[in-house]
Amino acid sequence: MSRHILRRIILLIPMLIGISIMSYGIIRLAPGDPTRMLADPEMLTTEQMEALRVQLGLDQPIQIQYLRTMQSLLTGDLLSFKTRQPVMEMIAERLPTTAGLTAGVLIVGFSLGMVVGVLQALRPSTRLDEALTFFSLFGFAVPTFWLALMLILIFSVRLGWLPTSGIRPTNTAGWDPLAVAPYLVLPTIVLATNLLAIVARYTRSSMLETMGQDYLRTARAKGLSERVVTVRHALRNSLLPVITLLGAQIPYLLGGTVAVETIFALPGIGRLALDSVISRDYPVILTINLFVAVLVLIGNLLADIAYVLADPRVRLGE
Amino acid sequence: MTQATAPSSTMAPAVNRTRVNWGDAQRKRSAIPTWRRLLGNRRIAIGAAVLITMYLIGLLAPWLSPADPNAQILLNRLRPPSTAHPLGTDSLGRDILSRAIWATRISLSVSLVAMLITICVGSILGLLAGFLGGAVDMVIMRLTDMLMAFPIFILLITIVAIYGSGLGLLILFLGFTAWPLAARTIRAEVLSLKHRDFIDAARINGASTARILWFHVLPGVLSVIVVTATLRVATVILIESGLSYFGLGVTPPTPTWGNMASEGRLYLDTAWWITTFPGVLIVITVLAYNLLGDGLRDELDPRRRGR
Amino acid sequence: MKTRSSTSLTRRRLLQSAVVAGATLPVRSTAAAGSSASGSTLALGARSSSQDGRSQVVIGAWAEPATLLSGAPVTGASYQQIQRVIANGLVKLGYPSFEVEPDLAESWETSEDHLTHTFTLRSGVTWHDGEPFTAEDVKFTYDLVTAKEWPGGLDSYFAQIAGATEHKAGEADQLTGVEVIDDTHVKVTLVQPDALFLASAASRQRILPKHVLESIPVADIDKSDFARKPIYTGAYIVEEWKQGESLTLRANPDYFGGAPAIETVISRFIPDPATTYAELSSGGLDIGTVSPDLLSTFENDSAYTVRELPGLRVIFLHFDLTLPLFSDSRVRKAIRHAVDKQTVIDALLLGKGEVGRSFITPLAWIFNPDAPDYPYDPKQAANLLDEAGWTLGDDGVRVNADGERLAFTLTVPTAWREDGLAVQPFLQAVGFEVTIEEQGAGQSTGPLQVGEYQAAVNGWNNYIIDPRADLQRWFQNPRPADQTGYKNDEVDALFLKARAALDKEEEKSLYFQIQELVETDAPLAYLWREQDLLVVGPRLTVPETDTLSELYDRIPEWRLND
Repeated sequence: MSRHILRRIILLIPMLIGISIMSYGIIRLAPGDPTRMLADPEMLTTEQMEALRVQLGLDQPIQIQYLRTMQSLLTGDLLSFKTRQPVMEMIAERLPTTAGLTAGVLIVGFSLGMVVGVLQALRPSTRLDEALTFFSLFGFAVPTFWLALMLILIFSVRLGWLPTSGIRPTNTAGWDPLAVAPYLVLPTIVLATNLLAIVARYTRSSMLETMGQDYLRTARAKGLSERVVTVRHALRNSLLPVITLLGAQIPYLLGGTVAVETIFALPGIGRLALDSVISRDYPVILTINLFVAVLVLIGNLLADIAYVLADPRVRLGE
Repeated sequence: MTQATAPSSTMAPAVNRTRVNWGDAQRKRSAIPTWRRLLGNRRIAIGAAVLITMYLIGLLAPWLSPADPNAQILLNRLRPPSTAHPLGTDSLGRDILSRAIWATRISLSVSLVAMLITICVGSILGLLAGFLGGAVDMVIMRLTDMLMAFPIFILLITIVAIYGSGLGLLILFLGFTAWPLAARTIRAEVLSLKHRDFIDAARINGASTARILWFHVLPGVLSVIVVTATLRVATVILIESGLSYFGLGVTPPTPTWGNMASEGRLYLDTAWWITTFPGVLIVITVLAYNLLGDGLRDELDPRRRGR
Repeated sequence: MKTRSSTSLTRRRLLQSAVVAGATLPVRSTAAAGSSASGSTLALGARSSSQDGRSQVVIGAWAEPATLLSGAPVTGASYQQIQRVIANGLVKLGYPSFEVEPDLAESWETSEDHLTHTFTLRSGVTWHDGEPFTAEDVKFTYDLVTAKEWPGGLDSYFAQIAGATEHKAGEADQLTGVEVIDDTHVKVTLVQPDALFLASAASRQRILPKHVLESIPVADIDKSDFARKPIYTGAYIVEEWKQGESLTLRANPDYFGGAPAIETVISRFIPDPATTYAELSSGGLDIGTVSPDLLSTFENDSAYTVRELPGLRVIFLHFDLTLPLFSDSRVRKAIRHAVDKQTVIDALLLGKGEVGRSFITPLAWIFNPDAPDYPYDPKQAANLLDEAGWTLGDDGVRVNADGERLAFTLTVPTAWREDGLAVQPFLQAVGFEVTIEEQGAGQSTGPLQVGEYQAAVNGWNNYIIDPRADLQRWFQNPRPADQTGYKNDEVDALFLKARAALDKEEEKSLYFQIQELVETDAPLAYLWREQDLLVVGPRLTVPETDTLSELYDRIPEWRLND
């Protein structure tokens, strides 16, 4: 098993190289000159633009640009085209917002989703099941920005219960949880609503399958109460696969944060990505893509390992 | 590397790696449900009814639409619903009902075509990976791992922003970014079929790989493909509306539900009708696709039958 | 295109600002200390701060700049407006007429031949860190930004300073043209007379502190902390820049123009105008701008003050004049006559705008009110097209003798979508066939250049640089990034003459002639200027100003009510 894990880890390297080449290729092979996008048209002359191009290394052949970029990235001194700040610092500054938001969404989305899914699975094809399906799907079907604006108008503008936007009171810094929490309530609701439906659906079917299995029939036949069967056996065995869904949800969730961070004016990674795409700040886009990829790949690896450890029925290599 | 090693990435609950034996081919074939049974499922019936209505609206758009969807009467901006404009007018004085009808046509076709691309690519690669195994499987699966590690939405924003979002391009982008998930789901299903008696029998009878794939494996995984496809359309509709929020969806003035809702969002407080109607259409359609997908899964998946 | 101001909360703002800065756009303001009627729990933190006795205002009007380092090649949106609050040049452009006014230099003398300017600096000015400001800082700054290692090429206006070209080439270790006479006097020598020197280089380049920057290698200054938390001489001190979130400015009690009334100014970067609107409504912002459609909400609420200020951004159509169709000035004039601008303004902008008739703002001192104009007159448009050989076909589209249709593609960046869509029917009414091609935010790769398009909608901000430079950028040849292919030798000659003009009246009359000639050629079709619609929350009182940029210039005079 350790050999297997080692192999997975070694495989990460070519995959990351592949991802970096793809990210770089997609942005760098596009028509257009990023300096034209970066420079202020009223301010810069043609000669200045040319000088800027040389400064940013854009006069080099693309493979050289790629290698240089990766080299700077690995040594940690890759600079943003636009702000001339180290990209790592920019990401680090934005990370707490996105991490906080994502963590909140995962916790709320998964816990509520699992509860809904279990409730549905316990009473399949009843009114309750149908109603819960309908409501969770409804949340899934509402476009993110629409839901976000509705919530802002209702809870911030009309009722004044929650802050409209931002990550903390304007005159404060730092991450005091009490100060930040109210600002994350609406964004979390918006994204968790979306996640809930996915988790509930997965939980419901996983649970239904487990409950149909032989060992549960055996348990029932042994005269154990339905409650014991459900709690002791079905629940535990069916929630395990749901947890593995977690890793797969991260890239999707980060996609959702782009819109949510824009609407709620949150200083997170998603918005940084959007801004960078629009101003063609290649180093930043590349780094964000790689950063997320590393997170997801490692997350998947850990999920797999955890899964194997937790479920002895799964045997590797079989 | 078996499917057990990659559990985290499949979202289709129907594929459970812990299950090993679920009956033979005989049982599977007889499990194919009749139309009558399918429509007896409430989710399928509701989903299908809504979608048929929507597609009819889209198909008949030229006849149903009371006005030119792009005709602007600036003096008629932001009018609330009235007899002249049953759903009101938008910020350029365009008739929202007409735009919504045409948007139905465009949103439905964009999502349908993008889904077809996703499913075709995903099915082919999933079948090959699952059935051939070995190096082919390895390469395809690492490729899907790679693509699935990408923040897909950020990738989409990047390519759409840089290469543009004409209708055709957008469909291609939406189609080609999502196949890994489909490929994975289908591969997992193929793996569970691969060593079953009827496949072995075909092999012993000297059938070619292509033949086995086409006549024996594909029918076995068809139900998974149908379910995946159904759910995928819904997702594409939502992604298009998400892109529209950033002005990166289908390029206006071509109306889609997404760009109509997004354009009107500034007036949410003062002219609610602009976003509300396209928003409701999105919700209804996505909901219908999901109901249909869930229902089909319940009915088509023999493991779930009788429950 | 990248020039739309980030100051108004219009429906196009999101993309626009994104284009501008790759950033955030918004307009939000204040939340700080008090809450409005609908005040939320959020305002709590702010309130407590005002109990500390520090007054605070939150604005939502500026997009996030790329840097705060004056002279950096990539600056991003709102940089100019922020610079005016935190930093000072030798001189500054006065609003709204753009005449040169004293800043760090309290006066200056220009030699007879206009080759030297001798500046007398204010005495007693201190940097934000308390160190005294002297003539050495001025020399240091000019040497720095013309140094070989300074990022970007040589600014064309700095190239006029004696020794600049050599310094940039690395052949000299300093400028010969900037001499320190004593602590409060600096002499700048130019290689040739340049009437624009004061309004360009001397105003645009803010003076940088020698004592802070001399220890940093020149090539590293744009990456240093100074670019994010600079030390200048302005009315406000940069206290903190939370990226993607806000910029916090603290009053400089020693500011030479007098200590500002409000101690803390927080500029929040809000990308979506819908959010800005919500923040203004919920009291999260003290000041911001909104689109005409949303203004009425605030007009009807007595707690808010609303200002309608003349727009400093002109929206216009420009054409690739190298195409046969647009090389004919009659076609361009027909387009100008064809569009009923007032009707569009009344409908689209609810009357909150004025008909555009010039590239520079009518408030500028060089504006020529008598230059040719082409008011709405569809008959005249039809006549011009007939004259140019385009006759009306059966399908309503004109054709010429060769059977070509009077058709073109209008490129409409998303930021100007509604303007473009509004123009289309008017052009079709006189026999054009106009295909709209929308260009999304990310698809733009900078200003459209000749050969990349046929006709396009664009907007240009008139408060960023001197109006003379505005004219040069679009009508003088050669110019960087040629967007139109416009060339008129007579105009070019006048530009050179005007730049060398020794007398202000003479200069003004030369620019009048330039506008006269340019408008006779009609290379651009001006559409309208959208007013800046300012919403001021209940806590704040701001001075009466002619324009929005002047209002932000005068932040030190803003006051909180109580």
